[in-house]
Amino acid sequence: MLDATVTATAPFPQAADDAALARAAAGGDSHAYERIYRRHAPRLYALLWRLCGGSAARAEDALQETFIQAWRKLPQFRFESALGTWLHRLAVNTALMELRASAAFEALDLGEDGMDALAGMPAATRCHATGLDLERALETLPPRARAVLVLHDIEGWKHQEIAEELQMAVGSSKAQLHRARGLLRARLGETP
Amino acid sequence: MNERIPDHDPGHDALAARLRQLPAERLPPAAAWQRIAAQLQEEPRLPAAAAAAVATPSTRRRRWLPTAAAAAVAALALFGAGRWWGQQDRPVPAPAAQASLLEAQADALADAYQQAIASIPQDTVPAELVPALHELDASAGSIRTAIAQSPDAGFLLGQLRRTYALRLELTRQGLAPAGLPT
Repeated sequence: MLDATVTATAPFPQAADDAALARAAAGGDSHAYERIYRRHAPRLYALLWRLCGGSAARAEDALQETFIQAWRKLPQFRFESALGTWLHRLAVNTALMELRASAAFEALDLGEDGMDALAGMPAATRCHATGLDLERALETLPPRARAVLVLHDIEGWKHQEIAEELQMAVGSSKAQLHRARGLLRARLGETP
Repeated sequence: MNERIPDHDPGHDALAARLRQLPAERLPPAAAWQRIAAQLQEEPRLPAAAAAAVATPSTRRRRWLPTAAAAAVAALALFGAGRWWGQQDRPVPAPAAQASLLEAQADALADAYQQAIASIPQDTVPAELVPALHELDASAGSIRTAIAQSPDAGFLLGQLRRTYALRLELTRQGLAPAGLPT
């Protein structure tokens, strides 16, 4: 919670600064908005990059859409959460909307066939996967399973939150995570 | 689903730890902010109530898929986009003026497309491309219907633009082997 009272005694200067910048940007100050962008875009871009399966073009589209949507919605921002949290949620929503509207999310989600497709690809190192190996392995996951795994295992979301965002049952979120982990381990050459 | 999915997966702990150690940040392309800033200049700050209802489309880069198979997949996806959007809760009913703005932009896009496609001879399009072209035409119609129903869905304009671009590109590709001007 970040309201005016909290801001006055806020122990986190960046959060307080964010609130001030957000208020300025909500009033039309584009320079303040650029500072918000510079501060938060790298974090959001890493998230969008992964949700978009390593597609730079899609990730940049989603980042652009996120910050345009945020500019429009800032006047309604009630400071009930930190600005970064709000932007994070907006970015996820934007990316998932983009993915939903794409062949990749609906038509090309390979389902169980994804395992077969992965099995035909050269396995990465069977020992300790490097960060790059992991990133590449993530990119090969079916989009829906990847989204669940990224949000749960990297971003720390709860299944309930993921289920709401992806408009699926909580059980489906758990099943997708189980599936994604299995696919990921297989891709990395590790035994499940 | 009958299979019981465990809430905790002990075998995943080591991999989960490595996932959490992946870089939390990635630097966006340098030009990304410039594109956003250019778009913001076209959007003067509105009063809060009006801002909630406004959804003009963003300026997205076009990505063209080069093959007829890709076109068919894209057509299905675009139709799915319109159908999915139609199932969503509408956040705030858009004022009529804003609704007509998005539709006017779609009309302008359609006019530009019609002029471009009219300049390409259609009678020499290879038969194998015709089904994909029909799919794209149907998708464009579905997207325009979705725009009329969801005037706050700015992203649909991007989908329409990509559909028209794909249709033009495929038509031109079909003519290229015959040596016709594209």
